[in-house]
Amino acid sequence: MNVLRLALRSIQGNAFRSGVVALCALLIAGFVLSTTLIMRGAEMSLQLARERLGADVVVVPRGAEAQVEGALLMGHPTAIWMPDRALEQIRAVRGVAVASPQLYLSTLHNAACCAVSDMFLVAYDPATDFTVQPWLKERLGGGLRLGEGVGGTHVFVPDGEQNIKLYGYFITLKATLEPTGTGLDQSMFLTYETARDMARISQTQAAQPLELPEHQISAVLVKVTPGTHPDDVALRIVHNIPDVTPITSTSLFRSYRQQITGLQGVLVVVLAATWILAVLLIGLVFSMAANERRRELGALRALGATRRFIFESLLSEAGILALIGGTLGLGLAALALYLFRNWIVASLGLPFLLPDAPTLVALIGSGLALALGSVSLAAFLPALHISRLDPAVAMRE
Amino acid sequence: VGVGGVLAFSRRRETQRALAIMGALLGAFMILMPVSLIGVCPGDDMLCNMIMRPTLVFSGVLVIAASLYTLLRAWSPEPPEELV
Repeated sequence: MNVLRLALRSIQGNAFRSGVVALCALLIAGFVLSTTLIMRGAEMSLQLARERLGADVVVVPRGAEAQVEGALLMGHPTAIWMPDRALEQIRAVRGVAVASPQLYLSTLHNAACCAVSDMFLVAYDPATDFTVQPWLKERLGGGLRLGEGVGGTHVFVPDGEQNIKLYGYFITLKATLEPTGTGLDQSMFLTYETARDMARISQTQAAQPLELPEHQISAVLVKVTPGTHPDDVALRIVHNIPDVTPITSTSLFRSYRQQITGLQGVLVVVLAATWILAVLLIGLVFSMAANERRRELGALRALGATRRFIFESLLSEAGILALIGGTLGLGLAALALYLFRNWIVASLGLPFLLPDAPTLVALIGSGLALALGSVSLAAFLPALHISRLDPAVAMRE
Repeated sequence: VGVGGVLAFSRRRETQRALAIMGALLGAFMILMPVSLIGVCPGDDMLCNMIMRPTLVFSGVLVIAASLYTLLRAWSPEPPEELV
């Protein structure tokens, strides 16, 4: 009889004991994968949102920083305004290469167009924009015309329709942006011209007209000149222009990053406690199992089995149980995270995007390795103790 | 739940096999109902989409996995009856 066959027989012989060890491995692997995925998914979302905006500095009305971050990151529609003369003042600041205005608007609640109840509308100036325009030129070979828009991954044309109807105005969806796991996924980008046209048509066609204040903008995206530090430009904007707040790209979404760090700390503590308890429980189960099988293992030794054989068979048993439990735990955690991702986003109030396939495979591999290592570690001492026992003593006691 | 309850009390391998197949089919229906047969509400941020649909799909996967495991265990031939 070889080591593996003995281990498998032993697993089959005591289904309850094996089940408890496999369950511990399942918990460790599943918990590690889900917490790592949530943390990495949130960080990746923040990174993608920052890259999508592409600005070195975002200038918003004073006191509206949280609102803008909430709109861009979680898709909470917001209506914030500042006079458009701020745009010229920002352009005059030393170190500013390009400054492009944006207008934040919102749809009515439960718009039919979108997979989400509130859609965030962003109107941009095609002449100066460096966020959407380069992407459009690369994908569509040109910018947006009057009545056209591009949407995030949650924006779609309703079944049986050819256009999206907003405020009584028909918008042609030209393209869909890649998912970021943030509020940008439920945003629609359109030109200033289209936004103004929509406001005009809505006066007669919509139940509630779209109000577009004259000479007002919501935010200004700034790209700095090469060699200039965004912090210096932000400082000059603070000194020279009243009633606006510049947010540099490194400080953007700071409150959300702090929230992620806080959550990470709590999860690490819970994870460590779970790991310690699981390892102790597995160790206890293996000690009891080893004591229970003293006679059996003593008889094996008496029949000629070496200490190494006994030790290896016990560790193989632990390894097989860790692999079964770990695989189940990882599979269930990945499936649950994928299925409940929208609920997790809504509950935690954080953006979330599942990582790409190679990262996911690496994380699954790490989870399995941890489960295997933990169970082997817990089983090591009982296996060593029982394998060193004299066969005569083991059989007599 | 009904199939699981009957399965817990059944001793004959043939019955276990039949019940396991029935359980797997019910699990498949559990997944297909919200995904393609009936569907749920269109909004991604609505409760039926955030909780009901994933719960049904997740439970369906568990039911199928448990049924396949039972089927695998019940596949070996019936042990001979003990002689009295």
